[in-house]
Amino acid sequence: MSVLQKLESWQKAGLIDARQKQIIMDYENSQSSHKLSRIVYFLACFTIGLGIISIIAANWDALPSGLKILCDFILLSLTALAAFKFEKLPHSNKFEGTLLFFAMLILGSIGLIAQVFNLQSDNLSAILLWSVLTAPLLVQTKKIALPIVWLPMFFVSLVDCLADWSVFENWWRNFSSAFLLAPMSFATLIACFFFVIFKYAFNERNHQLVSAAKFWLIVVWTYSILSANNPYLVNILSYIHKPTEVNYLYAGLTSVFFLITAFAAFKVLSSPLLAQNMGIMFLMVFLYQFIGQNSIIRELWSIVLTLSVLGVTLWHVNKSQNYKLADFISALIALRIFGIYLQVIGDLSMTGIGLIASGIILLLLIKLWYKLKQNRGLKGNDDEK
Amino acid sequence: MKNKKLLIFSLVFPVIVLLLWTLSLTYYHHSEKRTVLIAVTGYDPRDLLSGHYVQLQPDWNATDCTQFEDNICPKKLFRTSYRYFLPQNEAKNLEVLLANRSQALSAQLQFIFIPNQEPVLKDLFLEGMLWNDWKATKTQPKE
Repeated sequence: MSVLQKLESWQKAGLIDARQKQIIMDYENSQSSHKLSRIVYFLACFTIGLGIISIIAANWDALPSGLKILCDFILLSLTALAAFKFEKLPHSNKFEGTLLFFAMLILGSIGLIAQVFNLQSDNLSAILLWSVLTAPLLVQTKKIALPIVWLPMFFVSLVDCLADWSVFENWWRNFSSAFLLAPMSFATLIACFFFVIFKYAFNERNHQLVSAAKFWLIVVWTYSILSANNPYLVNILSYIHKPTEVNYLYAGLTSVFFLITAFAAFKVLSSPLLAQNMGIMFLMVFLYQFIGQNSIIRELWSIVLTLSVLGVTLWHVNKSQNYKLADFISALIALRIFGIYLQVIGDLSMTGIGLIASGIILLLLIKLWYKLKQNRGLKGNDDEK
Repeated sequence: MKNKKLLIFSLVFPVIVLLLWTLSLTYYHHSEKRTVLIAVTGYDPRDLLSGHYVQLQPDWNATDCTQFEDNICPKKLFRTSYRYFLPQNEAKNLEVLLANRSQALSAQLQFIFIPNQEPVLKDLFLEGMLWNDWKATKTQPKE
């Protein structure tokens, strides 16, 4: 239902009068037009930045190399100057747009220098250099666009460059040979660790950086949970080494690190949903070290992991009265339970057991769902009183 | 005031680093250093960026090893393939020419060579000429 339809129905029900309806509509219109102009503005800056990178990539030979580099530095300096000027304007989109353009121009300049001097690189060192050069800009921006691009570029290029370092390479080989689900666990641990660090360091100064770190943590974590349910995704994640023998010292130490991170998220950042979900995942990864070799238990493991995470999320979402999201999560739980049918199809007796178990769980879920709905109704009535 | 200083640093830092990098590369490429020529052959990169550069592999059989100490080519110091960046149209044409072995186009890469260090790619030579000069001879109208 659109805002206009909602307002009309509220007016008919006598909840608001015509004047209030007009005030709300004016406010909504101004908000949406601002949003649209902001999006178009950032899109324009992004497009121009991409255009410049594209011209550089084409290695335009109408200009001699020296002149090309000179033009590039003049453009860089002018953009920096413009960003400095625009910063004085309060709540200015011009400043944010120019900052984004400046960051893209830096990437273009690295590409131009590499072209002119025919620099060779086997890894993502150019992206890592860009990340280092643009890192101070993250503190200046008040929008999420730059941090959300910067974070994955930094981590992927850092790991890629570290992979060339023999110490890291050896450590990774040992770790992934001795610890099941090593890539998935490592990626989630790093994302979680940096979220905690950013929350500590930048929560007051730059909330957008924390939001971007949280966004990527959720993306990595969601992928990990999905990969636990899909053998193809697990294979992609553990493509480097298939562990043959688990090293329990590694498993124990990694799990301790995981639990400390989850504890930090719970205690320091007061985010119980995130912390509990992290805790579940890390404990399940630890458990996987002991049971991961058996295919049937492995499937049960993925079911327990997903249902625990979804169950905890449903509980928190329902508590925070986000009922639409709660319904969506309930549907996901039902879908995952239905997935059990497909997993247990083997002989007829196993299929029968699977069908009965899934049916009972679905019936319990429906009962729980109705109970939650009744509680919402009661809560709503209490609020009215 | 502190914020302003931080903003100036954020904007000036990348420009300064890129400038210093460019100057050091320019100095390195233009200083009097020993150079060597390595024969190369075309190599199909099958890369998303292909068409913007030519990918070349050293051909040690056709390389003059007398340029090196004890007349031995230090193969381990060199990479297995090199990218030489060219304007888009030139790269495409040259890629075809180098891939076509019947044309027998001789190509060499010039490197700045310091013993026991990774050689730095400097220029591309085609039939003994800098590639730009070679291109000029090919595009000159026949008298």
